[in-house]
Amino acid sequence: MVAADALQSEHRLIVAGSGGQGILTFCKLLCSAAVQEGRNVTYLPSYGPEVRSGTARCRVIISPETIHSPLVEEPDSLIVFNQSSYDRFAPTLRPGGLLLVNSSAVEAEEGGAAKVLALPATDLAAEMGSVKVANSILLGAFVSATGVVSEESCLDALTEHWGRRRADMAELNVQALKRGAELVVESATAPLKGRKSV
Amino acid sequence: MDPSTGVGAKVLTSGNEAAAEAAIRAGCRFYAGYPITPQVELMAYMATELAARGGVFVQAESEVAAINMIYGASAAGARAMTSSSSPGISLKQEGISYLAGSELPAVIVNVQRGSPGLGNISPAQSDYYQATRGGGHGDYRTITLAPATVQEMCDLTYLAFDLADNYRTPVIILSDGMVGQMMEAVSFDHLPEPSPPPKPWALTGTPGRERNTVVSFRLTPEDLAELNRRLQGRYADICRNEVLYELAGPEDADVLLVAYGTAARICRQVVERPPQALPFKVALLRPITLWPFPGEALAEMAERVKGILVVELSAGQMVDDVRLAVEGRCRVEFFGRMGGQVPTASETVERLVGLFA
Amino acid sequence: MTAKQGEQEVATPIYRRPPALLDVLTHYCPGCGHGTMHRLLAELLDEMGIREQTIGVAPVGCAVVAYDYLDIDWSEAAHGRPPAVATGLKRIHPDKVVFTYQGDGDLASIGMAETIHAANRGENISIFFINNGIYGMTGGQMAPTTLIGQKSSTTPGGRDAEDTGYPIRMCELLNQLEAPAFLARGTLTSPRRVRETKRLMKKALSYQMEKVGFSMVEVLTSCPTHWRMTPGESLRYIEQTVSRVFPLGVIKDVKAAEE
Ligand SMILES: Cc1ncc(C[n+]2csc(CCOP(=O)(O)OP(=O)(O)O)c2C)c(N)n1
Repeated sequence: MVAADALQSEHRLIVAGSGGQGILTFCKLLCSAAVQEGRNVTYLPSYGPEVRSGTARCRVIISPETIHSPLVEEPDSLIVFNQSSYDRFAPTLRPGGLLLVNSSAVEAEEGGAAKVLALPATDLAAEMGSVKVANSILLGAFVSATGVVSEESCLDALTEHWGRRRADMAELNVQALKRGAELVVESATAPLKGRKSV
Repeated sequence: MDPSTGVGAKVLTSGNEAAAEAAIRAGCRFYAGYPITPQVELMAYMATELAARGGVFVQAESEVAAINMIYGASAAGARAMTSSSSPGISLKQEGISYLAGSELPAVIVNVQRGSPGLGNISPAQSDYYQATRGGGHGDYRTITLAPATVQEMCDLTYLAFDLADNYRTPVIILSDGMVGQMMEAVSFDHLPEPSPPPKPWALTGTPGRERNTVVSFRLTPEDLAELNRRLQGRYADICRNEVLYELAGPEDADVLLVAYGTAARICRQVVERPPQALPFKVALLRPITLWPFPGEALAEMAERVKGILVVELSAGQMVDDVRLAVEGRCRVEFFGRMGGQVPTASETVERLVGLFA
Repeated sequence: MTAKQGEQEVATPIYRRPPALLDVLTHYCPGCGHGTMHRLLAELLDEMGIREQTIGVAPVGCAVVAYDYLDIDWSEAAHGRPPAVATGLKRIHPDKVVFTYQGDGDLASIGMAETIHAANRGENISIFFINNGIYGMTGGQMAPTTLIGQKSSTTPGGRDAEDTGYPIRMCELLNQLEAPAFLARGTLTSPRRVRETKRLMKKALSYQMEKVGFSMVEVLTSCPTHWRMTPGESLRYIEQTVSRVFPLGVIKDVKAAEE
């Protein structure tokens, strides 16, 4: 599934959901991993004035070259954590792009030009012990599906991030990231089509 | 960012934090500020880091207090900085005028947001006039630096402290909500150890020397004229020595884009990798110092191109300086977005084609 | 409670939206005190029949869009300046009810001068002071009312009195002035407390209508988001800790003193 040229080409993504869902952490970890691998990144957050339950979204570009405009007009990947973000951004996805949805909160339409990966991340996270690790599950899935950065550098970034903030959350996030990655590998062997979620 | 990992490698850092870290590395010993979005990360970084590394952090009761604390710290001889966003910068204007009149160095970061009034927290470039004309009362100017990347938030902040000390003047970093809150990979290691010039004018007590006074007040018109002449002389030196800009794109361009900060990044995209093919060649002139303005370079370019498109996140402010520099040598057009909106590369291409094809 | 309507039994609501409260989705975080405060104001405007006579002045803070919630005339004010704006409004319309609605950063930090001088002039306005001990809107920085030891993004190690001084008790501070007519402090930690606070707010507005003079009601509210507590924990924190530093009750009441 990993594109052979993933490291050579530019990848533009939009990650969106509501405040408190870990959107910005998702993007920060992805960017840290890419910087560790020597790539250029831009991480452009935007959020409403509400602190909780407002919208949160972040535009990320990872590139071997210098990045000029950090705006993302036609994302290569779209990761949506809630329905309103799906409704708003799904039409902007590049044809053939990857749509990764948290199917615990989003009903995505099958078909269309996008490759759809649906994971009930919030439910899976709850099963693992905390809904807060849903973002790590989706990060694992994203990295595994695209190969934009390696799972190892992602794990490094994640361990470093949580180790400094809340060491007690580090291990669970590591497990969640691995779980997300595994689910994508499993879904690659079983055909995705016609399945609501993996 | 975590300064402990900032050795050797590039670190993922926001523009606001990069400015704070660069200030500390430039020997900033005093920071005072009042919270306001979208620059809160700078202040929070200072709250944690500056004190831990031997400096002083004060959360002031207002922007008015903060800028006057800077006046005091600077008069005491320390490298001092404050930061805010548009509405707060308006409140600082009286203090900035006093800094200029008292010939005090200071670094003031404005992470601009959409205004007038309270506006919103999205990026804008509508404080250009205020920054480049001396935003308060009196005949003064402030050196104005316009970072376009997180690395430049670092590099230009460092430079600002040297310029401020060398010319004994307040220096404004005119950033915006996008550059301030965006994260990119940044390196800090190339910044040299700071070497501020001696400050014989500073207030340190008078053992073994004549007393110093740090004042802008002059009773007689003759004395005040003398102070003003000294300031104007210094401003002329700044215009001669400190102009910074960047050119990108083909030398034989048909159309020249002129933009700074965030708008320049969008324009650079149009020049380097346009989202749609352009029927003519486009180059970019990006002023890095907004005052002093790179007018000469622009005048020279104006001889060679068919037209100029100025792009700003405003109703059109820098475009006035472009027209003054171009003096009718070529057509000058404007494309702007207001209210915290940022034009995309596609929209810019569309406008270019509409105007010049 | 139920009522017969033909054959059908229809539930009669005993808890309704007061007409002065606009029917909009809240933008406040779960457990935030602004929602309750807006409701109390709306109830009072309706019960006192002064909705059409009232002009509000909104702050800069989380309640910056208070005007989206209450169906009255409103003015914005620059951060900290509501008492000055209210002074202008009231002097032109002495017979209208003019109130400001302000957070602790707005009222006690950047707006300290306006607050003290409006109080000292005895402006016949009412100030509703929402003290949550933190800067909510800008992401949890220290406020002038932040408790010693309380963590914020600008006091990461907890507020240290040696460096940043002590929490300011605004009611007690204004009580040093001759002019104020009514100064009181309430909170919203239980239904009883909410009713008490509403009574204080009603008194403030009535004094203004009777032209008794300047009134301020300070209300201790919670900010679970930036206090990093659950809504329940923050209410207990107010009861057990915050209200020890900021004692509840009437601090000054000129009419009671006269009697
Ligand atoms: C002149 C100026 N400075 C700073 C700000 C940024 N700002 C917006 S709200 C706020 C303080 C909010 O705290 P508070 O008044 O306690 O109200 P809360 O949000 O907690 O309800 C600040 C500093 C501004 N808008 N204008």
